Amino acid sequence: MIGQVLLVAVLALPAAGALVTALLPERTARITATVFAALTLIVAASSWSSQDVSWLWVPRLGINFHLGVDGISYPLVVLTALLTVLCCAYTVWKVPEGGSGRTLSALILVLEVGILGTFLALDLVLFFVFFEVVLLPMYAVIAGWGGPNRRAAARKFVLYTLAGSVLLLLGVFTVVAAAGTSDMSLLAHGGGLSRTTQCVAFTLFALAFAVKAPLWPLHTWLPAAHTEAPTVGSVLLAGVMLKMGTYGLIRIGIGVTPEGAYWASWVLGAFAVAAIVAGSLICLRQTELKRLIAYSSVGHMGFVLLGIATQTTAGVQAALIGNVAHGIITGLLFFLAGAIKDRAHTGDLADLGGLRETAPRLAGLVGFACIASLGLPGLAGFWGEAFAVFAALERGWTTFAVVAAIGGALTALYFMRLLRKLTHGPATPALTGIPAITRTEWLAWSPLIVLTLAVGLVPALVLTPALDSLALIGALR
Amino acid sequence: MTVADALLLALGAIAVGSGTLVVTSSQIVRAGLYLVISLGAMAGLYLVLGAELVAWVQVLVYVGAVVVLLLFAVMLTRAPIGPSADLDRPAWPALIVGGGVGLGLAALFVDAFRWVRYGMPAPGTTERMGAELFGNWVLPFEVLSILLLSALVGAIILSRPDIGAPKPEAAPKPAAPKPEAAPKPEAQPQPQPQPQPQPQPQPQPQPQPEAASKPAAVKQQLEKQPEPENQEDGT
Amino acid sequence: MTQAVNNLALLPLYAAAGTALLVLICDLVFARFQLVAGLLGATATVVCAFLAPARDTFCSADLCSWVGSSRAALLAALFAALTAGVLALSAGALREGYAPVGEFCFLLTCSMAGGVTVAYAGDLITLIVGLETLTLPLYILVGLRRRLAGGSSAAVTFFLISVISTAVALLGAALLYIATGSLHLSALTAGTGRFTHLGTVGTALLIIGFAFKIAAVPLHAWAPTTYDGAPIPVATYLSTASKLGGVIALAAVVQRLDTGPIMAVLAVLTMTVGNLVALRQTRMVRLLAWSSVAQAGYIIAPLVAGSDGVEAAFAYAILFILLEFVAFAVVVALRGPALDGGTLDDYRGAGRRNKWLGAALVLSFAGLAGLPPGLAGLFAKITVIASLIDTGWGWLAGVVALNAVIALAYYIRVAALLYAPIKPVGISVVDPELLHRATHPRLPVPAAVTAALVVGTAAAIIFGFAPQAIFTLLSR
Repeated sequence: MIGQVLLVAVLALPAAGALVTALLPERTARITATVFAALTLIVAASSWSSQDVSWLWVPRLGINFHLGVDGISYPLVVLTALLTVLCCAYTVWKVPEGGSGRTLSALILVLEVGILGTFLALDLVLFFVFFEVVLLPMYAVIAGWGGPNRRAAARKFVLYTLAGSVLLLLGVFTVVAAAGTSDMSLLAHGGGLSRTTQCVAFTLFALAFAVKAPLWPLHTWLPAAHTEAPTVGSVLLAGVMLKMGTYGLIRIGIGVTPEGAYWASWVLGAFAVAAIVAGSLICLRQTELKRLIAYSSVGHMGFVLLGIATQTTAGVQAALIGNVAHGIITGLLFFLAGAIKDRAHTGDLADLGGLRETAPRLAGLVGFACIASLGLPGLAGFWGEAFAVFAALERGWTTFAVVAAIGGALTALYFMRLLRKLTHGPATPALTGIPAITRTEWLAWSPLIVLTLAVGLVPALVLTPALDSLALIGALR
Repeated sequence: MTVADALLLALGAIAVGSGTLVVTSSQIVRAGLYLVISLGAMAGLYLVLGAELVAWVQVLVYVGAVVVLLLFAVMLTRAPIGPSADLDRPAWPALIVGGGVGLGLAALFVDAFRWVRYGMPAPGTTERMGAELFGNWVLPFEVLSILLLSALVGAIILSRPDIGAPKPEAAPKPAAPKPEAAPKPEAQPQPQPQPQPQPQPQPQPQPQPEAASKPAAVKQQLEKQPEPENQEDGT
Repeated sequence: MTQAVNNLALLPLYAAAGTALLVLICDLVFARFQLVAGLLGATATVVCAFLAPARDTFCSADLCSWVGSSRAALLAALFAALTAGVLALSAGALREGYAPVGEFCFLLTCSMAGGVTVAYAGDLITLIVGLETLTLPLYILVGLRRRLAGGSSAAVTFFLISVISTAVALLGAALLYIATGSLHLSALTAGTGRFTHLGTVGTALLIIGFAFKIAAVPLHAWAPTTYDGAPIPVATYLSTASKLGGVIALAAVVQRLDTGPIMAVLAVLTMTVGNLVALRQTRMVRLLAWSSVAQAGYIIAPLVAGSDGVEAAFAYAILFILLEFVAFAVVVALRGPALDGGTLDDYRGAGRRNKWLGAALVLSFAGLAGLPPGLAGLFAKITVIASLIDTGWGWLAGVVALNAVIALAYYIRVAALLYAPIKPVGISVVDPELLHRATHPRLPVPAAVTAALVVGTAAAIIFGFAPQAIFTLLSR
């Protein structure tokens, strides 16, 4: 009973928080939002010991309000709650131009409900409903508080993502019509679907999640959205919203339609490897800070998708830890990029240089984050990349493994280039005389820094809970 | 070929022929009179088929009420009696569509019935009509009464512009000329209720250009608006 | 031989017709309270629809003209609720004297009586008579703004197209009667033997006649002109109640007759053309009109499967009507009683000036696009797509999905416009915000409009979270 309450509270708290925040006056509202987000984090962290919730919602459509947490979703749930607290705390200190901070905080909490719901849902249609919840609030965040080209970026984001969502809807109902149920636990291991149905459904799922993940070449909404979004928007978008796609591919793509996933695995692997290389090559040409980090997400998601495509235990574990690591590190990177952009009032790499001389601590943190992102052993990013390459070899895709490794080297190349331009060299006027890191910023960034080290040194933190749950998915070779 | 068949053919020809003349005539009164002939021929067709009550109802309602109403309307709105050019539209689209539909329906019926011989049904006396209507179709009959009442009230609203005439907005726009009304000279000044000064509690955005002065605006309004049909003066 | 009449089952019709007469008498005797009488009567009709026993009456042998069921009760209640809502929306305009109060309310309540008849109709004649009773008062109501340009041309267009469509539908019913000898809905069959073609053509003509009412493409050309030329509350009624009448009529035909191919063509054309043209609209009511044309396409889509898809079509229609009513109610509240819908630019920044109205419009558009927070619209789309995939029309589900994405483009454009910053004026001003507020004042919203909006939004939100109630009522 208390376990069920705990699980429902994970969703109910941010929802209530959003309502309350929208009604309170400005500064109180932002602090209240942070309090609600912190409460959600506590409840989310303790949700490991919760029980599944399964209530009838719309029997006519076969939708049950079925929530549950297991080893695959738990790290992502905690990551979401953590990033939301940090974003709300950041908003208390600094509201980007364009609207009231109260509305921004309320929208962040609504986003949290959607993302947490996606990770907790164990019913296909419920998953779809929560998948859709994030669309309009994210559009509002980008269009309201974003950069100069925010309208076009937001519109592209929402239309592209909706296209992916409707494909998901078609796939979900293909499965539901054939199987007669939409419960993921009943549908696990293929749920008795025929091979054709599974292949058709997996194609639809793969396309839908490829738009969300994003997988090259369906990634074109990402750079604009990330660049134009405000800092908190980029952190949430890169940190957790992209994970909705890869999580969906694991939970639904492999879990519900494993034969379809096996049939399409080579194609998926090819696109994943192409994403790694393409992402790296595009990054080498980037001249804008946030855009470069955005494209780096394409590359990292390529590694995660390669791990999923191999459909081996090692591959899926690589994907899981790659997800969490990318969320932590890219979240940190976007926070830092936001801090630099706010101080220098530009993100153009040509105008930025010599950070090491004017703000050595900030430069050190940027260096740390970049090195973590490129996959240095000992930091979180290493495990995802290494295991993905290993899984590809295990599956017998030697070419893919080699190309992925080269892509990893290219990742190092562009991050080093970024560091050289940004932190070394003579100090440019834009970066001269910038204020030091404030206490709020340290508070916001330190959990991410600690986690990067922790997950890097002890990957079992993420992987051990997942071991039992991987058996649920099955069909892993 | 019995007498009934011959009568059906003859009356049908009259109905179709005068119907064609209705739509091709360029004088409105002649069109009305051709309509009388066409509807009368329809009544004749009903008689031949034995539906007595329907035939006489057709004469009473359609010929008597509807067409007479049409002619009264033409008289009272001073529609042009002589030939008017815009009564007859270009014929070709109508001819193609009408001819196509007619041919199609004819082909359909010929395909369905071929040369089947049907005996003449029992005459549709009033008693049989009543039994059918009040025995099987009571509900639509009663709902029709609501329909007719609303049509009556609606016709009165449309024909009496002074019922709840809106307080004129500050800048009256000329009403769009109705397609069926030829430009009529406005000889009769309509006793318009004097426009009261409208209290403006809030400034409303007025995209239309403001008229120069109130009396001039009212006079302009009176001259520009074509009156709707069924004008009854001094009711 | 007469038919037995169960007066208790007929309560909704008595209430509706009684309301109309009550309004007329109030106008005659008191010359006040017509609007209140109309509102009370419409509410009484809603109550009667749910209280009346679900019995068939006006039966000869097995065939009944009045078929009672909980689905019919729900639809009749919806007609009455829409009438009450539209009466409330017109309160401001009627008070200012833009239409004769008594006659306006009377015509609207007559239309409600027609709607109730359509909901319970058991044979084609009652259905068509009910449809005419539903739409005839609207010919007059559309033309009430005849002093402004566009009012009379809208009325005449609507009248001519509607009368032609009724004639076509009657011809179809007649052909079907010749072919099969039955007019009652439960006994409709396709023609057999040498009457096959006759029956098919009759069915097709019936569908075409009813498709006019729902403004399906290619029979939709009257809709944007008529909606734009009519007063906004009347446009609301056209877009909701008149469409519902057309849906009920189409569903009645589709349930027993095989109409898959023609309905599929209608659905695809309607959705696609409606959405594509709506992308280019610059006037608010025209955009809403074209969007409702596209939504009619989503409603028709499940009907391709015949009786299996009828429930899904009705569910979508009901949820769509709730959201559409909210959208039109916000337009009435924002624009005031006298003006028309205006261009899209007139709504720039309206969401910042009126927070609650802006939120209601965003809710409505999100629902029409099929996204949360308009959960009602999301479940409506899910229902349609589920029904299509279940009955084997997967490709049509794909078309619906594609159109949902196209539709979002214009819904999001208008929703964003509500919160857009004001455009800079040509000259330099000290305080552009103040100038903008002075030239775009917040109009006071009449209490009746607020009440209608609150009830409508509450219904949309409640049924968004609990659509099962609608499904349960529709299934029996």
